[in-house]
Amino acid sequence: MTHGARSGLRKTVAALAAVLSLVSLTACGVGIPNPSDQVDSAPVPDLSVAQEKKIRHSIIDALDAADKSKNPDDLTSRVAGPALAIRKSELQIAGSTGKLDPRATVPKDLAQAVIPTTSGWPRAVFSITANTSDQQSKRLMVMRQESARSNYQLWGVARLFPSVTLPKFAIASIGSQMGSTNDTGLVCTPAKAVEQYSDLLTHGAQSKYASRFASDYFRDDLTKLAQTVQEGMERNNGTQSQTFTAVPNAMYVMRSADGGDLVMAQIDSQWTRQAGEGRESQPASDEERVLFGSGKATSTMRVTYVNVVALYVPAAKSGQKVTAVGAERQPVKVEAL
Amino acid sequence: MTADEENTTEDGQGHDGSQSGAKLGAKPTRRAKVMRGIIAPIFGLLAVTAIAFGLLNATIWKPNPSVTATGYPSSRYVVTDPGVLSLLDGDVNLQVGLSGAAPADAKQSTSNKTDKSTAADSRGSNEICVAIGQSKDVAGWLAGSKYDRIIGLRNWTNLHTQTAEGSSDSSSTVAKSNGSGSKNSGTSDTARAGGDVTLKHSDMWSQVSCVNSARTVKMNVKAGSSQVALIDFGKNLSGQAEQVSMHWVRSKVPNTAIPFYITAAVLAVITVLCASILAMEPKRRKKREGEGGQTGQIPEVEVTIGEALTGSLQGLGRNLRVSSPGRHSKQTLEAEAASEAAALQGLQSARELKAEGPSIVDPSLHNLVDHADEAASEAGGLQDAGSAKNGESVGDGSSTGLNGNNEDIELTSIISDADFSDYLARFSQEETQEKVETPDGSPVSEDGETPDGSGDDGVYQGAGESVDTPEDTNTDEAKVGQIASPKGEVDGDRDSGADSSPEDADRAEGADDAAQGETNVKHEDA
Repeated sequence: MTHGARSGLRKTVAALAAVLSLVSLTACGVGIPNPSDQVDSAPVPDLSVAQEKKIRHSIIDALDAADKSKNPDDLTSRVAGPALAIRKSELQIAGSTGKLDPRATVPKDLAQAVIPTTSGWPRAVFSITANTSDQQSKRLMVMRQESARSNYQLWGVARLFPSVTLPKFAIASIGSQMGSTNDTGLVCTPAKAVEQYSDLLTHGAQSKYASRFASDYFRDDLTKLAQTVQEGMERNNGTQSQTFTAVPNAMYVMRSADGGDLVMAQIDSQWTRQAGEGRESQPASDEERVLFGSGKATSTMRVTYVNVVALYVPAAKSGQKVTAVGAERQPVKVEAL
Repeated sequence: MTADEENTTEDGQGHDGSQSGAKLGAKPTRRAKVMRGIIAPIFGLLAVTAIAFGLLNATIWKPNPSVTATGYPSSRYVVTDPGVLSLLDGDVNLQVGLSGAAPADAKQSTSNKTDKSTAADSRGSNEICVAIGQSKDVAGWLAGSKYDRIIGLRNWTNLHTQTAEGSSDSSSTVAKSNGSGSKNSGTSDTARAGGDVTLKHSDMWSQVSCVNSARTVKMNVKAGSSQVALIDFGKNLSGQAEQVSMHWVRSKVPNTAIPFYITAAVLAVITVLCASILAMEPKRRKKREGEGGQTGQIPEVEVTIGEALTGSLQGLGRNLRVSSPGRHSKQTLEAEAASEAAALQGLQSARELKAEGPSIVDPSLHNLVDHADEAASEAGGLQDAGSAKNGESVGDGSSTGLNGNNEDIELTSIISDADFSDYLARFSQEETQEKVETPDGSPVSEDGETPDGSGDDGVYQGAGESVDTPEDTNTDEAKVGQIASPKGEVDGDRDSGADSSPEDADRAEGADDAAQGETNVKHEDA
C-alpha cells in the first residue's frame, strides 16, 4: 500500500470516527434526564402563603371553638406557651361574665406573613393581622412548630401599639431568616433586651436601662396604673410592688430586612399588694375578682400576670433604641397570702 | 493546479505537457478511483441513512410524550429525591399502592387464600398516605427512620430506588439556641411524646392524600423543583409488595430527528469533498536539483509557505522603511531600487537562458555587473590579467575595485592562462584568414569599413558583444565577454554587461564602432 493510500485511509477512518462521535452525541442528547439538574439550591420558605393561611385559620378556628365551649382543653392542639395561659384565663373570665373580652379577638384577615426559611425546629411564623372589626389594633401572632411531627401552634399574641412602625421583612414567597436569642450585630442581644425591659418595667424610670429604650404605651399604662394603686394604698398605709421576670428562652426571633430583630417574649410578673391597718387586700379588677373567685381575702394579695411583649431590637449601627411595638397582659392567678 | 495536473505529477508522465494531458483526461488515478468509487458512495449512503433515521425519529420513532415509570420499594417510607417529581414535566400523576403479593411470595399468596384474606383484614385499618412537601420537611419527618429513596429513572419504564436512613439530628440547631423549643427539639420520636400528629394531619404538606391500604392512592401533583413526595405505606405491610408509579405527559418532547438531520448534512458535505478535493493527489515533493541537472532541466523554483511568508514580511518591511521618511536617505532608496532591478534582471536573464536551451552559467546572477565601482574593479582585474599576457590594457581600470573585490574577481576571472592563450591564438588565426580572404591584404568588415589602428584595442572592448556561441568554446568565450563587458559599462552602458546571451550581445548598444566590426567578423565565422 502506497503512502498516499495509507494517508487516505487514515483520513477516511478519522472522518468515520467523527461521524460516529456525532451520532453518539446525538444519542446522549436524548438520554434519561438527571434529577439533580432540576434542583434549585436557593432557600425556600417553610410554608407557602396558602399553608400559612390554612394554619392560621385552623388556629383561629380552635380559638373560636374554645370560646364557644368555654373549655380550655379545646385549645391544646393549636395553642401553646403564653398564649395558652392567657387564653385559659380569658376563657375562665368569660365563663363567669358570659362574655369574652374584646381584647381577645384575633382577626382572620392578614396584613403580612413573615415566613422563615429555616430547615430545623422549632420554627416560627410571624403573622400580622388586620385591624379587628371594632377597629382595635393589629395583632402580632407567633405560630411555632415545635418539631417535625408536631403542628403549628399559636404561641403568643400581642396587640400592636397604635401608629407603631414595624420593621420591614421579606415577602412570604421569599422568606425571612429566623433569629436566635444570641443574635449579634444589634444594640444588644434579644435575650438581654428582654431582661433589660423586664428591669425597666419593674423599676420604671429608675431602671439603669431606661435610656436604652424608647417610651411605649405598655410601659406608660403600667406606670399610670401603679401610681393609681399606690395612691390608694398609701391612703390606708398599704404598699404595693410589681416584679417582672423574663421567662428564660421563652422567645422567638425573626430577622428583619434592615438588620434588626423582631422579638416576641414572655415576661411573667407578680403584683403584690399589702393593705395596712388590719384591712384586707381585695382584687383590683373584674378579671382578678373572677380569678380570685370565692377565696378568702387577707391583707396581702398576689396577682400573677403573663405578659407578652414584642420588642424591636435595631441593628447596632442604626442609632435607634430598643422599642416595644406590642404587648399583651393578662392575670392568670390571684391568690391571698 | 487542477486535479488532472496533480494526476500528471503522480504518474510521472507529465514532463511532456501535451501528451500527459491527453493521457490524464482519459485515465483517472487510483486515488481518484478509490475516493470517487468507494469512499464517497459510502458517505453518501450514510447520509441517506441518517436522513432516513431522522425521518423515522420524526414520525414513527418520535419519543412518546407519555412516560410511566414504576418502582418497587420495600420500606415503610418512600421518598422521592428533589427534582424527581418534576423530572419530565411539572405535572406528574402518582399512583401508590400495594400489589396483590410480593414477587417473591407470589406463589404462596395465590396458593393460600386464607392467609391472603387474613393479611387484608389485618391491614384494614392501615392507611397509605402520600404527601407532597419540601425536602427539608420530609427529612425532619423521617429523622431516625429507614426509608427508600427514588433517585430517578433507571430507564424509561422503571424508577431507580435506594435504601437510606434518616439522620437523627435533622432537627435544627436553632432549637438549641432558640429558647423554649429547645426542650422538645430533637428527633421525631422525641416529638411524638408531645403533640405528635399523623402524616395525614401535618401542616407541612402542600398536598396529602390517604386511603385504605386495600386501595391505591392517585394524586396529581404540580411539583416544584424543591418538592418531594413522601409515601407512608403504614406499619402492617404483611409482605405486600409496594408499588409506586409516576406518569408524566411531557409538554416538550425532545426532537430526536434534528441530530440525524445534522449528521446527514455533515455526511453529505463529506461526500462532496471525497468526490472532489479529497480525490486529488497531494502534491509531490519536487525532485532534487541533482536529478534536474541530470535531465538537463532547470528546475522551477518552488516557494514554500515559510519562504513566501518570509519574503512577504521582508517586502512589507521594505515598504515600511520606504514609507517612513527620514530613516533612510534618498541614496539608500536608490541603491535598494537598483539592487532590486538588478536582481530582477538577473532572474530574467536566467530564465531566458533556460528558454534558450543550453546550460550557461550566468555570472551576472552575482549582480556584480550592476554596480559601477564593482564593474570598474572587474575591469581592473581584467586589466591585470590581460597585461600579464600581452600588455594590452583596456579602459581606465581603477585599482580600488581590484583591491576591494578580490573575491568577486576570483569568481568571475575563471579563465585560465592556457585558455586565454588558446583564444588569442585562435583570434590571430582568424585574423590571418581574413587577411587571406581580402586581396588587398587589409581586413574588411562586412560594411566595407577598414579598421584603424585602434582595432586591436577594440577586440577587447567589444569582446563582450563579440563572444557568440561557438559550439566548442561557448562557455569560455562567454566568460571572456563578461570580463570585457566592464569596459562597455565604463563607456556608458551598464546594461550591456548583464546581457550575456548571444542575442543580447548582438543588440548591445555600448559597443563602439571598432568593436562592432569585430563582432561582425565573428558572426561570420560562426
